[in-house]
Amino acid sequence: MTRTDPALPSIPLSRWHRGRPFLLTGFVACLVAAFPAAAQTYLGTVQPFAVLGASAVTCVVSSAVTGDLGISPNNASSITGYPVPPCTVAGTIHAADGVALTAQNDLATAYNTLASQACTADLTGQDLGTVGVLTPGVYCFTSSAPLTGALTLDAQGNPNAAFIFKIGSTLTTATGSSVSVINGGSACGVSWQVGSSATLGTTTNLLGNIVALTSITGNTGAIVTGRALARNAAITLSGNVNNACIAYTGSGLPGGAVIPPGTAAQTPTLSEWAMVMLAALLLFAGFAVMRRRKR
Amino acid sequence: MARFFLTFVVILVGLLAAELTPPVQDAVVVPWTNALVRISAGLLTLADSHVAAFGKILQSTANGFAISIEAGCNGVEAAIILAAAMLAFPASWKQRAAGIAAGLVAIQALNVVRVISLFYLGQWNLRAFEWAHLYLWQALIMLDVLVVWLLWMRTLAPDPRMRTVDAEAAR
Repeated sequence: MTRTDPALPSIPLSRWHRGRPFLLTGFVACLVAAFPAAAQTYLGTVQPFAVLGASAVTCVVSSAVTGDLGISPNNASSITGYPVPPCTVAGTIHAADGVALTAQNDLATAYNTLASQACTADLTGQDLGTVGVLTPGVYCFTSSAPLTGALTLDAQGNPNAAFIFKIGSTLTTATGSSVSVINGGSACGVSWQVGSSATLGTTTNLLGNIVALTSITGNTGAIVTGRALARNAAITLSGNVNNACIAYTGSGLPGGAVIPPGTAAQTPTLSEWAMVMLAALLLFAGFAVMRRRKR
Repeated sequence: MARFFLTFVVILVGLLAAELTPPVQDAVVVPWTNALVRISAGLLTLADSHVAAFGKILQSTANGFAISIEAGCNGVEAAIILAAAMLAFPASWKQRAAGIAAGLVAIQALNVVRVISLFYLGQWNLRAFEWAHLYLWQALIMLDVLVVWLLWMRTLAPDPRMRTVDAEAAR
């Protein structure tokens, strides 16, 4: 036996006038609700990773990874060296688990996001060691990008300044090359979108996130302050990778602080108080209907 | 009425608690949140080529403005409140199922409109974005749920138990 009888008449909505004070109270109250905020970069769930590879992650001599280390789709058997000293991981190792899979999916999206950025300047054919000081922007190479010597990036006082290097094929640094950010910027705002593979020469000191389509190789003593992320193949390291960007509040994309904390970071549908008020409104409305049914 | 109230509270607390558990987060909330981003991005890209979606973030590639759709931003809580009310209210299971389905569609459709409108409002004026985000859209989502709730109750016939009571009183 059902609890309702379809043959009985329904209740007109116009009979709701006695419940209006409740509704008005609810809407006035919901107008004073507030919400917390958080920040995100274009990397999504890749953010905690210092190293993320696809086919293999190998420590050749010694390497200290600060941050999570992941591999997907290959599994733990494709991780060589880590986490046995002198190949250490100060973070969690995710091997072919859901976290690594999601991060690889987000990495593909991040790669495409970087690739979709409009170029500020085309540096094809130039050596990054000789281009002088660069300001925030998107710098493009239709083929390979070499770095011989020092590259200086001027953040111009913006802590969330973004520098993106879009490289059609390889990124290759010479022995002892370095990248530095001056005037208030951060390594976390630097991204290298590499169309094939990145090779860091011995004792290179590179800043930023390397987002490579294929592989990343760091020769002896090559240090990455940021992340080494490879979509389709291996990461081979003989130096340290330090993900010091977990708390970075910029997006890492042009526009500077595009997700400023406290403003656009979250868009909650209902605050806690609004939820309480909504529940109360539904209850009052339900009570009113039940009362009218009794009459 | 007391039964309705208690049932509503129990179901609401149960559903909200379930929503916070890792299995439900992994199986429902996170996938839905990501789907919401993709749906919003898909609709946006129909008319605007300067939109990128990655993870929970929608960003304008033209000016860098971005919004992040976090837990609580996906309309799930509003849907849970409505579902709890419908499950607690005297009605047939078929009517409840229909009401919950209609409510989900109404809430999520409006939430997509909310996300898209906030995305453009933020690019135009951050103060307008804040106001709409904090005040206007919360009120509109509540109004949406309330209208669905009222319309659903209007489609229901009075409880036959009440009719029996009325008939006995008339004798």
